[in-house]
Amino acid sequence: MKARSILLDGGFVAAITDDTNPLHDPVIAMYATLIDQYQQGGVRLFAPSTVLMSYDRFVRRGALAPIETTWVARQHRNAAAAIDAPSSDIALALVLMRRERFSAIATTLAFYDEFDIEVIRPLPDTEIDVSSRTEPMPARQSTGE
Amino acid sequence: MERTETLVDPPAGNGIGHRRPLSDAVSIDPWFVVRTSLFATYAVAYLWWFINKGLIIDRISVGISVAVFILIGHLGRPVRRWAWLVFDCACYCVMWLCYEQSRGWADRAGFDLQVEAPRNIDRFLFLGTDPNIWMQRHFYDANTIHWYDNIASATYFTHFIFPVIAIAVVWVTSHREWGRFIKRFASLLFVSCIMFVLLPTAPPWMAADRKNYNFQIIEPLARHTGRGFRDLGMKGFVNQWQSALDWGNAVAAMPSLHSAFALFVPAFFLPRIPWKWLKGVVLCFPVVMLTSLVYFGEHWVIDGLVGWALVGLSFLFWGWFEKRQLRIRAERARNALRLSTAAIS
Repeated sequence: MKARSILLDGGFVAAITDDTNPLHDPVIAMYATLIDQYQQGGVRLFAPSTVLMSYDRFVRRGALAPIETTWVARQHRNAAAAIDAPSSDIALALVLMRRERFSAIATTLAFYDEFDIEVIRPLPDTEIDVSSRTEPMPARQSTGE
Repeated sequence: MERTETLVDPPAGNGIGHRRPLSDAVSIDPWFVVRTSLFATYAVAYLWWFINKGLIIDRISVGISVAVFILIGHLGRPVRRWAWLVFDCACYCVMWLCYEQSRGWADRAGFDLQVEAPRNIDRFLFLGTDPNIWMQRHFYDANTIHWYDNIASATYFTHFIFPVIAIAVVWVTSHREWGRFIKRFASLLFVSCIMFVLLPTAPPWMAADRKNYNFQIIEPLARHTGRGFRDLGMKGFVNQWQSALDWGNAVAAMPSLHSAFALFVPAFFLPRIPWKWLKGVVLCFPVVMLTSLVYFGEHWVIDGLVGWALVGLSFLFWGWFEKRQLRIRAERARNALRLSTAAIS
């Protein structure tokens, strides 16, 4: 079985680590499912080096331990600069999605929905009681296929 | 309420069928085109060489051809990827250097040569029959090269090609997969080298040789390994192999790396093969290899079985280790998240 590679964008990673983020709970619930799949070898989780660099070692080896680094090079930045996107981070994520062949993107933004890619995103109005969670449900994923 | 995650439907008025392809927004990597073109050129050049000059076997030519392949695969890659390549190359060279050195260590260590023990084990496994002798008696014809001689000989010589191709392809396509491959491969080589030193074993052709050796513990055997391949037109390849034998460790029969590599490469790629019937076909290859080795008098059956066992152990160990790593990282994240969740509530 080949593990699916999922790119976690900056907003998603920020929502994991920041408990004051309004999307923290739904993102944590989604992340818990991804971790389960990761432990079973079904997925590999990545985040851009530009995102992970902003977290200290404690966080990287703790909450973000399953997330591998996808290194952002100058050629990625150059390609991102040529893309019409709301922000440079989004443009960079699009470049990484195509050039590094990720299967899906985990994000908090609706922007990626317009592309023919698999988007994993929590609904903002989801009510989740993470503390009472026993067994996560399998993620429903929208696919562009 | 126990809901976890959700997914988003496409934005209103923009159904799934109307999503933009990512290629609309992100241009193709120009280096991808360069790499693809050069790979195609490389394949044509390799084919031309194969038809006109034969298969590449000598180590320098193999090294150059693999290096060119890998360099093409890295053209236009980020500097970090090139740095990994240099490090990987260093590890790869050290691995083979240790393997080569083990031949010298085996000579100096001076452990007793095993001659009768593998023969006795084979006889035990086959109820008193020597499988090498039985196979040659039933299938070997000194005057005729049969179709199965061609197949057995070609299978034998794939040992010098398939692992190299597999390593090169994995190296170019995925650094992580290369790491997984080489960990298992290096472990196999390491344990094999230790066994070559501690357990020098005479192969059947040596145990049967009455001219150069004085063991004579089985009936005479024909060592006709290159005959079938030479019959297919691979004369240069076979001649170079025979001269390379002069430098090899003749008593490194246990374990059989031929058998081990023949199982290793298919076993590594097996999870990527979607069809069960093809998996079955692929797994026939190591069986054909071991049968060929026994037929040629190159190895005892037990050599091949031990080679397979080492492959199994290598895969089991690294599989367990990698799963453990996944579990540890997942647990770290869960523990950290529970703290985080507790803080909220």
